[in-house]
Order: sequence, then C-alpha cells, then structure tokens
Amino acid sequence: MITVSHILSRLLRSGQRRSAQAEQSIHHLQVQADLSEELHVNVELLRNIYADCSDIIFHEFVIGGRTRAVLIYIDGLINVEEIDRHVLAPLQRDNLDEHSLSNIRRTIPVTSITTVKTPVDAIEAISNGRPVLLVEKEPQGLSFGLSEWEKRAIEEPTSESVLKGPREGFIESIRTNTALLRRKVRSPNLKIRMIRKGNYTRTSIAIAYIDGIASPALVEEVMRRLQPIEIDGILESTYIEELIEDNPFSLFPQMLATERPDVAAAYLLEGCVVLLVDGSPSVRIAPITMYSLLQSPEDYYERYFIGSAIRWLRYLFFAISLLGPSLYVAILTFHQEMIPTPLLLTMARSREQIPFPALIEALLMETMFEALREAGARLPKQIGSAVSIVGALVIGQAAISAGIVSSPMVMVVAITGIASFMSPRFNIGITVRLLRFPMMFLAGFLGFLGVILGIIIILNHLLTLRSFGVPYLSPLAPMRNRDLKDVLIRVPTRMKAEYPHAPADRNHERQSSDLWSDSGNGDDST
Amino acid sequence: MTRKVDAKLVIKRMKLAVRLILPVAMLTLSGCWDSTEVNDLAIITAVGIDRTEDQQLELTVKIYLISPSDIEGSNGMTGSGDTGSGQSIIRSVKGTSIADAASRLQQVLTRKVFWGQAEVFMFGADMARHGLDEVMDFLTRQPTIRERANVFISGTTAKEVLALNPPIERSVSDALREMVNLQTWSGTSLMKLSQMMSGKSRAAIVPTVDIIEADYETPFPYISGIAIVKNGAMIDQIREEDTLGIMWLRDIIKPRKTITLEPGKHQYISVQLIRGHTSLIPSIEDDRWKITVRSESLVKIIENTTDRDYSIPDHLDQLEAELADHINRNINQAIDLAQQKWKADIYQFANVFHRAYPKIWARQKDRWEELFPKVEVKLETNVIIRRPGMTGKNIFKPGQR
Repeated sequence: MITVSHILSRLLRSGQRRSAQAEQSIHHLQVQADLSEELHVNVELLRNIYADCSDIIFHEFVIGGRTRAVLIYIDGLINVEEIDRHVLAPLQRDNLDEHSLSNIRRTIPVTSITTVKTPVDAIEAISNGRPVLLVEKEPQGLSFGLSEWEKRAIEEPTSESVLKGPREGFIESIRTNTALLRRKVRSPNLKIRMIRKGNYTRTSIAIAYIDGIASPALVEEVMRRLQPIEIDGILESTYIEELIEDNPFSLFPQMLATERPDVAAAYLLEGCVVLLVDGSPSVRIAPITMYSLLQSPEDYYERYFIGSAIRWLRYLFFAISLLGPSLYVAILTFHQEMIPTPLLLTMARSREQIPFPALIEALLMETMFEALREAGARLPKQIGSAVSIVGALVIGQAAISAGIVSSPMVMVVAITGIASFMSPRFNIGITVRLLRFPMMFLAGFLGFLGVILGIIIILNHLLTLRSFGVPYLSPLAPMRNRDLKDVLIRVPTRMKAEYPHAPADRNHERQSSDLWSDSGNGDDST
Repeated sequence: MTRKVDAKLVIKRMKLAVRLILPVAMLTLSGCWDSTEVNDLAIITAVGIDRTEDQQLELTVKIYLISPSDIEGSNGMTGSGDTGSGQSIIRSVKGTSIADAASRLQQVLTRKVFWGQAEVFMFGADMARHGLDEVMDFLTRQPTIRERANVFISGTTAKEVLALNPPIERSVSDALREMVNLQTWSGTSLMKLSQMMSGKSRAAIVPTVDIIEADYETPFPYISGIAIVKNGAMIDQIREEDTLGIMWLRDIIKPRKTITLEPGKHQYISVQLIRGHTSLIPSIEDDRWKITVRSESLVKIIENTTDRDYSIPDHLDQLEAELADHINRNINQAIDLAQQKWKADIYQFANVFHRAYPKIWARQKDRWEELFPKVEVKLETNVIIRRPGMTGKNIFKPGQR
C-alpha cells in the first residue's frame, strides 16, 4: 500500500499539476492514520514535512522535569506572550504525578484547546496559527487557540462610503468578519458553516445564513456548488464567485460584493446566503437581482422618499451610462430630424471642423476617458490628482481647441462618465461601461435600430440569467407584486412586513403586523 | 427515449442557427447604412414653391449656412452664441415638377440636402391659385419631411418672402414659426392641410404672409390673413381683421385674442379672451341638415373708455350680451361667405355630419356640394366675463367721480 502510493506520488511529482501534487502529499500522510506514541517519531515526521520552513519553531522542553514535550508553532502567527504565560509556565512548574494529556489539559488555563489525533490535524492546526503540543508517550496532541497575527484595523470601506449609517467594514481576517456579522445578527439562527478550499492556501470559507429565513434548498445549492471545488489557491472571494456563479460567461455579476457588514446583514435578513472568504475583505451575497446592484445602503438609512427619489435618479443615470454616447451618435448620424432646429444648428456648427465621424469621435473620447479613470484608480493618491488635472485638460479644453472633438461630445462623455460612477456597486458599473462600446458601434452602424437591437439582446440575456435560481430581473420579470416594494420605490419600513422571495412554506413575517393596528388602542388608553 | 433525444438535438441546432442568422440579418437590414454626419448636411429651414411664367415649378430653399468664420468663435469656451441674420443662403432651382426640381437641388449644393428640419413651407400666390395638389403629394409622401411644419401662402411669390432676413430671428423660417405660435389663432400644419384637402370637405384654410416694407427698417414678413383653398386651389383671400368668425367656427382661436366694441361714439370697451371653445353639433331632421354652433368664451376686460361701471352686475350682463351679439355677427358673416360666396366647407361640417350620421352620410356624400350651402346654422354663443379688472368704471375720465 505504501509503495503504491509512493510510486504514485513520485509519478505525480514529476507531473505538471501542482494541485494534484499537494493533494497527493496530504494523501500520503493520511496513510499513516494516527500519531505515534513515540514523540521523536512524530517530531521527525513533522520536521520532514516542514523541512526548509524557517518560520516553524519546534520548541522542546520538559514537563515537570520528567516528561519530554514539544511545542510546534509558526512564528508570527501566535501570541508568544500568552504561550509563555499560560502554557509553558504552568507546565514547567508542574508537579503532577502523571503527565497524561487530560491532566495537562486541566493544568493549562486556555479556553480553546482541541485534541490533535493525526499529523494532518496537527498540520491544519499549526497552519492556522494554533500551537500544537506533543507529549512523550501520548498518541495525541493538544492545540491551543492562541493564534494572533497582525491585522488591519476595522475601517470604513473606501469603495462603499455612506453619509449616514455604520462606518465599519470587513477586514482580511475571516474570524473578525464573522464576528462583525454576529454583532449585527445575534440570533442563534445565524448559522455560519465553515469549509476549507485551496490545496495550498487551505483558505477558510464561511457560509452564513439565517436558519428560518434562507431557504434550505438555497443553502444546499450553495454547499453543493462549493463542495467540488478543486483549486490550488483562493486569494480573494472572486475566485469562489467565478467558480460557483450560474453563468460564468455573463458580463453581469450574479453575486453581490460588499465590504459592509450592515449590507451583508441586511441580505441575510432577506434570506440570502453570505460567503466570506479568509483573506478578503469583500464578501459575496447570493442570490441577487439586478435591482440589488443598483441599491445603496444609504437608501435605507435615509427616509423613504429620499431613498426612493435617489433610487430613481440612479436608475435614470444607469440608463444614461449605458446609452448616452450611443444615442448621441445615432441621433447625430441618422436621425438629425429629431433634434430641435436651433440645437441642430449649434451642433452642426460645433462639428464643422471635426475630421472624424461622430462614431470615431465618441470611441476616441470614451476610450480616453476609460484610460484616465483606470490610470487614476491605480496610481498613488498624490499622482492620481495630477493625472486627473492633465486628463481633464486633455479631454476637455485642449481636445476642442485642437479640433479633434466637438464640445457637445465632451459633454456627452462627461455626463456618461458621471453616470457610470453613480452605480453604487463597482462591478455593475464596469459591466455597463463595457457594454457601452458595442452599443456605440451598433448606433454608429445602424442608428436607433441598432440601439434597439442592442437593448433587446441585453434584455434577452438578462431575462435568461439567474442568480442561484432567482431570475435576474425579478420581481419585475417575472412580476411578483409582493416583492415590488423594494424595487421601483423604497417603501417605508413599516410597510415592509414580508420577506422578499420567501418560499411559501416558510415564515413570511418580517415585523409583527399587530404593531400598527394596535397603536390605535394605545392612543385610546392614554 | 431516442425520439426525445432527437427532438432536443433539433432544438439545439435550431437555436444555433437562429443565433447565427440574427447577426447576419442585422447587418443586412436595409436602409440603415446611410449614415450622414451632421456637418455634411445642407440643413433646409424653409421651402418655397412658386410657379414661373413658363409653367415650370421653382423650388426655393433657405439653407442654414455654417460659415468658417463662425467656427473660430466656437473654438474657445467663449464661443459666440450670437446668430446674425446673414447665416442663411437661398438656393433656387426650376423643374417641370416638384420632384424634378428637388432632384436638381442637389446639383447646386455641395452638401446632402436634408429636409428633416424644414419648418416652413411657403407657396407662392400664383402657385396656390393654380393648384397645390401635385406638390402636396410630394410633400406628404417623403418620410423625411416634417408633417408638423407650418404651411403659408405668400401674397406675392414664395421666393420673395424667403429672401427676407428678419433682423431678430435666426432666419425667416424661425420668424414665421414664432409669429404663427404667437398669433391669436393656430396656423396650419402640413398634416392638417393634407387632412383638410383630402378629407370629406376638400376645403382648407391657410395663413397668408405679406411683406411690410417700412422705410426705416429692413423689410419683414407678417401674417396678413387667411387663404381659402377649395379642391386643391386657392379661391380667395381675406384679411386678418375679417377672420374672427372663421376662427370661431374652426375652433382655432387662442387666448390673447382681443375684441373691441364701440357702444357709444369714441367709447371703446376691449376684452381679451381667456379661453374660447366652439363645438359643432349636427342634427338631421326630415332632410333638413342643421348645425348648432355652441361657443363658450371666458374673457377679461382690458380697457374701458365708456361711462359704464363694470363692478355692477347689470352692466356686465349687458356687455356679455353685446359681445355675444358681436361674435354672432362675425360667425354669421363667415358662414355666409363660405356657403354663398365660396361654396367651400372650410369649417369641416362634413366631418361632423359623417361622425354623427354615418349611414345618412354614406348615402348623401355625393350631394354634399349642393347640400352644404343649404345647411342651417343655429348659434348658441355664451360669453362670460371672468375678470372685470381692478377698476370698475374708468376713474380717470373727467366727468366721473
């Protein structure tokens, strides 16, 4: 058996697939199922596995002057002070009769102690920053929850800032993130399942949902899609998103990315599943609809009519950011009769000395604008402002004076640019920005006919798209009156008594309906 | 089982075929490749059509000119928004028919002729007298020509009016359009004219334009009255002062129309219309065709140089009756003109009868020509003075205290 696996591992090591290799090496360990009773065998095994790992510390010491023991940990992932004070100090001073594992466990004043039975367990614990204690004559070890590493402080997420509302954001540590969620939803019904994926990175993925609101079928579906993932590493939650989304070739995001615990909690309360990936401050939410991508947490933190009005403004500018330049090109090259005469005359005059057709002009300016935006986003902040000043000059005044573009075109590009920044989610904004280019081509070749064709194609795609089984354009298509309360308008909170897209057999009520009917009685009694 | 699989396969292939065909079909869709840049267009703002002495048609177009000197101004952000009057040019071509002339127009222009912005269509007086039917076919057949464009008949030739450069507006087209908008009655659009000319009555009214030649000012056009078009040709013209009855009957009267009465010698009372509406109610009894003209108007008093005090309800009642009388006189006069002089149903009574009595109309429609002069007209005019003004009587008159 061992030889077979040995040969296999040799074969695979010479192969190209690194992930298979890692899997094989772990498999190799599993063959020797348990830890040995001999301390030196275990230590030798682990030393071999961690060969050339300079950050692994094997701290050998003696318990109570009699029993030899080894504490294994990764330097930088543990709290050394706590280990010294609460593990090493009590053990070295110990004068127990028998140094059994259970006795040792009783001696050490640490809350999280787990038993390690196999080398795989040990590696898992060590990798996660839990120091492992192996003791002479014991076929098991102990691991302590004394991990600690440098973390970023909880800050306001810069990509999703709000005027009102909480300012905390997720960070790179998954434990902190689940704690942030738990602080929002304290009910024991908030379930957070944990799995590990990534053969090398061994990244923790947490699946959070509220039992009783989220449909069990949805949770099962998420788990079913996560289970078969075989990948060498997961560095960001987008890795997971791409592997489990319904249509990987769609331009439209089918999961919502957020760095805000309040947004995640809100979606948990609507029956969605939240995926947290260790090492990434951005969590993913599913299922979503198109409209959730156009909603901002601010909608709910302002009073409802402000929220509704701003939502409409956002819908309008979403359309503008998709169609702005293409409508301009179509009207200017095909449908001149649609422009009011004085405006047409002004436009004609401004275009008089422009050498390019309107389509080329639009493409030129839009590409320039996208380049500027990207340059500004990637550069350090100090240089970024310089880029924007130069860019504003390039695509503004100078381009007009040079006779490259006309001033109405600069206006259209600028308005479209502003419009694309209005979408509260970056990923839908970038989708629309991409779609703008084919739309411009269609408009430049076919006029309004092309624009309409483009819209039909996009709509067609959106109508077939689903996010974890939920139609992308619901509740408008298919129409579900009950769920319309949060799409076109943001209804007052007191009217949101039911959960959206809740299955029929589950708890529908979000707030007690008695609350408002009883308020009259309360008034009478006073 | 195998059958099921086959069906699936067929559907899959069909889907693939549709996906392939769609983009190809998109590219070959006809009529969509003719994109034109806006700076390659000769933008026609007004069209004039005359009949020359040698029985040819002369097509005159006013084209907005984008002169290079203008563009330098628009380079900077300080761009000159000013639009002088010398920015339009005139091009004139002759042809045996309007289509012939239109096709020749391109020969004298370096840019693509663009009809889509033509707001004014002006027919010369000779042309109108000879007949508009041929030209109207061309104008209504082209999809690029605006149906909402205003139609006028010139007192002289259309060319003369188009050659004017009114000082305030950008071009003569703008000037005429604005004038018709601010008139006290709505003008006639190309669509309305074609409906009236091709409708049951085959009679229409079109505003006429004349030129004022003042010695202190560049000549400018103004709307002088109404031309009566019957069976495609202009048969008469009446001056603006005499059009009140026609406006009431056509229900095209607009607020701001002022009516002045003279109850005593050199004593005037003027009222302005706040709202006016006329409805024609047809009835046929024993082969007697009748129309009831019911008009409602709300007016305000804007001038009073009489001795009456319009804070007294009796005086108001009296004025209301006088106004109704005045309107009735005008309407009767207009009806007499149409029924006796022109024998032209310019008030579209035919439509009204057709709508109310479709069966009778179907039997009698060929006799309309002889029926129309015999239609009895009953007037129900109601005038209400809504705002007598801030003062009752004229407090500035010496004899009044």
